[in-house]
Amino acid sequence: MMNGVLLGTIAIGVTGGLLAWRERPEPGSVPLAVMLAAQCLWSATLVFKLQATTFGAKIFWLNMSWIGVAVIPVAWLLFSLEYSGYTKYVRFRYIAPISIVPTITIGLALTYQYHDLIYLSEQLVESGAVSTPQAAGIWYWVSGAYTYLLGIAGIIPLLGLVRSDVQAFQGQSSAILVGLLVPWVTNALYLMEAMPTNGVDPTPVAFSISGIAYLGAVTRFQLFKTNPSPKRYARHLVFDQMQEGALVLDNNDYIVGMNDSAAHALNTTRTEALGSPADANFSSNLFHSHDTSKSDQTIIHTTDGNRSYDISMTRITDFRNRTIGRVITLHEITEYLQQQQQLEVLNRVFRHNIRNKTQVIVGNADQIETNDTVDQVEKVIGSAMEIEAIGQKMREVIDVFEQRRTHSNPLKLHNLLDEIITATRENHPAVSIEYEPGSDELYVPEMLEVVFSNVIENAVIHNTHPEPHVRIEVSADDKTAQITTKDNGPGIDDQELLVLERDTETPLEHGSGLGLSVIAWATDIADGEVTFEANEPTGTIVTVNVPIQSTPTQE
Amino acid sequence: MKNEQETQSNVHEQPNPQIEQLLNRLLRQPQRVWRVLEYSSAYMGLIAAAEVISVMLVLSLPQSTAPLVAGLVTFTIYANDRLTDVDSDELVNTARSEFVRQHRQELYILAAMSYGLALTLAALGGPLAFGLSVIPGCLWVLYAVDWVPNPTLGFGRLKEILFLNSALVAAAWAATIVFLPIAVTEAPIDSASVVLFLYFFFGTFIGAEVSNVRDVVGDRAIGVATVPVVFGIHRTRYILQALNLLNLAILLVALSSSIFSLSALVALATGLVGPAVVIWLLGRVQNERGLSLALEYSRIPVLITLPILSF
Repeated sequence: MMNGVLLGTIAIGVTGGLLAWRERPEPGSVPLAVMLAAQCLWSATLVFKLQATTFGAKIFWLNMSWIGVAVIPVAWLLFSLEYSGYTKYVRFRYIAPISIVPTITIGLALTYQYHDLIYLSEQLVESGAVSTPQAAGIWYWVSGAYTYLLGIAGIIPLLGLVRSDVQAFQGQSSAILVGLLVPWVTNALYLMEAMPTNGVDPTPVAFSISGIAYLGAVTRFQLFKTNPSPKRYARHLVFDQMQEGALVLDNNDYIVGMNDSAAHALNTTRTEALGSPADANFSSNLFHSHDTSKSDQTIIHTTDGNRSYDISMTRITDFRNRTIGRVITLHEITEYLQQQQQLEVLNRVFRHNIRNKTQVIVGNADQIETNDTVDQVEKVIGSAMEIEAIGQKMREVIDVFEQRRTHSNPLKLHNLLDEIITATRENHPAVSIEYEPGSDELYVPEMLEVVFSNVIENAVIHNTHPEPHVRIEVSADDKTAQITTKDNGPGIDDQELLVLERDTETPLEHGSGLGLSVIAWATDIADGEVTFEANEPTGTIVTVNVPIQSTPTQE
Repeated sequence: MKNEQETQSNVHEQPNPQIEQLLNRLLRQPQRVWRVLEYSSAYMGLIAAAEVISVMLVLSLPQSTAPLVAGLVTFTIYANDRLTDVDSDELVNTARSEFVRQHRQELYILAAMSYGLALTLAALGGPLAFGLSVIPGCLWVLYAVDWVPNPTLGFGRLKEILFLNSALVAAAWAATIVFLPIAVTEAPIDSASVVLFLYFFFGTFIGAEVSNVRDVVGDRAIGVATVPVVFGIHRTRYILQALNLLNLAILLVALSSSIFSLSALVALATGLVGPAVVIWLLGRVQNERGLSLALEYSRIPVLITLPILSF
């Protein structure tokens, strides 16, 4: 009878093991296949023990059965860890220490004749006078306790899945737990001698029920087809790698979680920020302004003015709906704000400047029709040329925007400035232009051509001084080139500078043209900075700081 | 009236569609059964079982479950092989590949259950029979899986090493076929069983290398060293004919040493005719798949002649 049942467990174990083996590399498939193989070995050795006719053969197969007995709990724990997503523990550095006790057990079983750590008397075991537990040595109980310890350790991660919101995982983990508990309970009853088995350990028989449970998990609940293992990593992955910065604050506003984007936004590291008060990070002069005026948005800007963030807050609640913390997300909107300002300027140019000039043309054309005066003809021509100039500026703007997306070639700064200054001198011979070139080997982004031509053009064209003078100086350190343009003209209107500084325009507060905007935008795209100061006694000092680029390679 | 006669004559001339359908079905049924047997590799299990019976006849062993175990194990291994190579099989044997793809799930479960049953029956036959039945399964795992993870150690898959690949398959097959019935019946291993092992070993080795001929291009591309890849078709013919003749020589030595009876030798020798013809045709006919199949059936004359000559 027992022989037949044990044979049945072999058939079920082999079938289940092969089905699990096919699912490689799904998490848990290999440990499950190993566990079922060990169970088959255990059953087979017990069958051979029952078939054996000599005492030596019986003891040999009894000892061989320890291999299966020792491997099963290790394989079970590894299966549970892999299946529930703790794959980082399924590595040699963890497998080796948990395999020490089973290895010693196998070693002691194979050398049983030299000690009584496994059996006090193997003759008693096999004579049928007593069962194995009655004649068990000290290591028998150590091994048994260790087996139960690993069994419980393997159950813990599965218990969480039984309560999973995914029905398939509930079914899978329930079936697996049944598969585990039946042999464990059977073994416990055997050890307590609550089962009449004539000294034969019925545990592998219980494994046939395990086999059916595992097969049920495979076929009915799609074990290996759908698996909870990625869930553990996915949540971390989404949080860590999301483009938005995310901070988790506890109820006392201490930072308890943070991703790399948030660390970058707060100009800190995760190690430094975690565990520190959120206020300390937000008010360390990093963020200089909060703007909550626009709709529900809260926008913050870094002090260097380089980055702006839209922040939002989400409450974290427990199952009783009590707030236990908050998640703050930082969405960088620097580029969005820049584009918004650029659109405002372009909108103003089209809506205001071109309409004004068109009205001048229409008005003067009417007068030409009636009066036919030379003065009005000049005004028409002048307005038309201004529209042409606006068109030219618009093309420059488009080129600058285009270079944001495409690679910008480095140009030699001296050649660039020399060319612009020579052309300006030819067109405006009355203006004295002084040029103090720096190093001859400075390279800057190509798009700065439009910056320097506009800066020099503004300094020359709008200069109403009786002795107009412009001085251009170049200096540099290892990383940055500084180009300073000083003129003695009337200076830039404060309104124009205010609009540039605010990065926004309103119908009442706006600039007069595109020149200054083009200078600011192109410098920004080239990762540079531009500042405007008043010159003494009159005029403007425009300072452009730009990163020096490496020498272009010869093709 | 005339129309009526014509109608009647038409009725007589036209075959009954129901009978025709039944005939078609009866004719199609064996074809369908054979298709299932061939594509699922169940026929390999049948051949293995028949070969074990032939071993039992030659060695005069009592009846046992050995043929059933061998058949089930063989079916498992070949079915798994079909499943593993389903993609590469598509170019060589589209219909079989399509069948395997369509019944992938059922075939795998059937193979798994078959191996489970085989090991259970083998366990009944004792530890040796059980071990012999486990070995082909273990070798199948080693054969198909990258068992040495670090390729810099110089070991690749066993499949990629010249001679060793076919030798492993041949040894596993021959050991199962010859020693399984011996183990189950607890008979002693004698000279006759060793000769039979060599007979099946060389026969299977030749079969494996003949199959490799049609895979030369693919094997070369993936770096698998087979006899046709390394030596070319022409020299492969000589090597395989030499092995076939060696097999015959072993049988003759066995006869001269009175290990086998003349009737057993004649029966076993009929199994060497097919391989000799197939090897001669290698590279001379285009139907390499047909040659492989012919080789697989080349031991059928043994199975037919052996019982006739034995009684």
